Amino acid sequence: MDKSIRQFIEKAKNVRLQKQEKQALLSELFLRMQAHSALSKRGLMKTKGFRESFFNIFISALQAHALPIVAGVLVVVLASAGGISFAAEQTAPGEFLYPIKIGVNEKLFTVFAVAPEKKAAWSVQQTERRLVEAEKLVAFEGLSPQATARLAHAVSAHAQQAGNIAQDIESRGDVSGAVAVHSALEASLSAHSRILTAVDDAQRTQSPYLQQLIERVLVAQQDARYARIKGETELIAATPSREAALTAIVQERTGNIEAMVAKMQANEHVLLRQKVFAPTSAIADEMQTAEQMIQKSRVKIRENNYKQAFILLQEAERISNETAAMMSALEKSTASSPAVLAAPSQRTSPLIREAQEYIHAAQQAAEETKQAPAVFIGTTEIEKEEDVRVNEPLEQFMPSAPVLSVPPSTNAYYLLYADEPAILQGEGGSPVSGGMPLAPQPQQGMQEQE
Amino acid sequence: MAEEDKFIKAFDAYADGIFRYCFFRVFNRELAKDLVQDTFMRAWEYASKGNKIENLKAFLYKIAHNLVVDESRKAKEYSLDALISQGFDVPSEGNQIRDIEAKEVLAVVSLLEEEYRDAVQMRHVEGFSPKEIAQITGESENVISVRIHRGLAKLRTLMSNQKKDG
Repeated sequence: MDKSIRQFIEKAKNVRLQKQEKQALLSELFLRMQAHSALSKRGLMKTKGFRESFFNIFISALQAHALPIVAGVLVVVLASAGGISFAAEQTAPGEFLYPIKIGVNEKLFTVFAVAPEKKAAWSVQQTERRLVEAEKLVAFEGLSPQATARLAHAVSAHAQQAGNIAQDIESRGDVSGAVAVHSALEASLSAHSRILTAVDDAQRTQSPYLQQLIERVLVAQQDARYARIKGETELIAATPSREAALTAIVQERTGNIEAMVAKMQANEHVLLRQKVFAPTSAIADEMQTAEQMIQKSRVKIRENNYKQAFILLQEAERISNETAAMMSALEKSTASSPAVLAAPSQRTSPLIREAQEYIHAAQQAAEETKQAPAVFIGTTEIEKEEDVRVNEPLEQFMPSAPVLSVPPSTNAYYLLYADEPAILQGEGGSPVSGGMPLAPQPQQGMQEQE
Repeated sequence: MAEEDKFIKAFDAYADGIFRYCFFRVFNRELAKDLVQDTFMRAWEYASKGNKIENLKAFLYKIAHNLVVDESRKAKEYSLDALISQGFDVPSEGNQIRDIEAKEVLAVVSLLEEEYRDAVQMRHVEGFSPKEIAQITGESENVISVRIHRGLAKLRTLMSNQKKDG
């Protein structure tokens, strides 16, 4: 072979995948492999009765995971009555007892969760367990591509499962129960996406795998959010008065926020290890926004415009609570420099209390004046606000996620605030007759900021 | 677990070659990437059923070969005319010299008939023996040896023509 051909062949060998393309392909491939394995296993389990399923828990664990490890551990489990099983609960992918956690412990829980509500709650919990494992790995040991892909797949699968069960619950007429599942899932995913992002930022991993995992969590969170909004819309339609529905949603969302705060606090240990933490200027900005919203709401209450006061206070409360949870986690990780966080931290608790008090006051006032239909539904006046954020769509205040649009008919906020085009459309929204804005303007308003 | 790790190692080792093989046949980067993924997925599915694979590299190329053949049957838009009018989809590693070289390679490779392109690429770029190429493509070893020989001669002619034109 002559030299020119040899050179040509060398050049041809340089045509190859880029590093990132290769990583993305491997990650996707791994997910497909996992899905394939899971489907095969599910097929095996489906036709079996309870006893056989129980037996198969061990058999499939033996098949799917490290045979000698599981077999060896099985003997010990029998001898020490669940000691190993308990120890396995603390493990993450790649650890010695992890196959027991997934193949034995969780399958037992799945078998015993019979009622749909229990099944849904367990699926939400499983989603969360995988995310906690991911957080532990990122913070303490580093997340391998294989572990990330496996966890990302599991998170999507469990979240999907929870959503499917919620649909079943809804199809039996229990819309409220379905909304509760979607809400719990959304709160969990929202809290964990924030924790993962915080840990990722702190560790500066720059791992494309971790990014993919976070994106998946955000997509699942988005799905749960839309399902929740859809359910809430149905609840509103079925509720005699809109203000009662609004109050119910305020309570539901407060519950969500509390759940989110609890989850973030429960995961503080992950953040403890972080040497570097998120810049506090963002926290201070958020707190300032919350303060401004509370001030505005005072004006609205004086004007008897309780609906706008509600909107402002809900957002103020949400921002305050989330910020408080983040700071609580960060504070423990920054014991060496507490002064950095001291100022915003001191402002947090009073703000939350203030927001809650105002929400309560607004509810009371609305009931007392008995002008709810006029105030909450009949308002057609388009208000011009100085503060742009007040007039922006509510959805913009939600946690950031990929851009997705919701059809107006499925959006609870659209129905709730349909008579307030200024809220739906922002400052530039055109006047709308008859209290119902015309598409596509609201749809633009429902798009989230990138 | 062990099987998965083994498979991931195989991906690291052969993904670039499979990609190159598919890319030189379909001249579309995204499609070639899809074919790479399908190739590995099919191999995984085959292995997960308990089937044994003796020569994984050759097995992967055989799957890729079949997928590429199916793809060529489905779409005829990878014709030379279409390629020339659209320009080549050249990978970029941020290395301009390599990009230019890749374009040169593609310009020549696209002019080589598929049967010769396959034979020369598998023999001299991917390092298969004529016997292995015969197994992958389903041709006889003799036919492959002839194609390699003729393919190299055609390649030489194309390169010299390109030099004259350039």
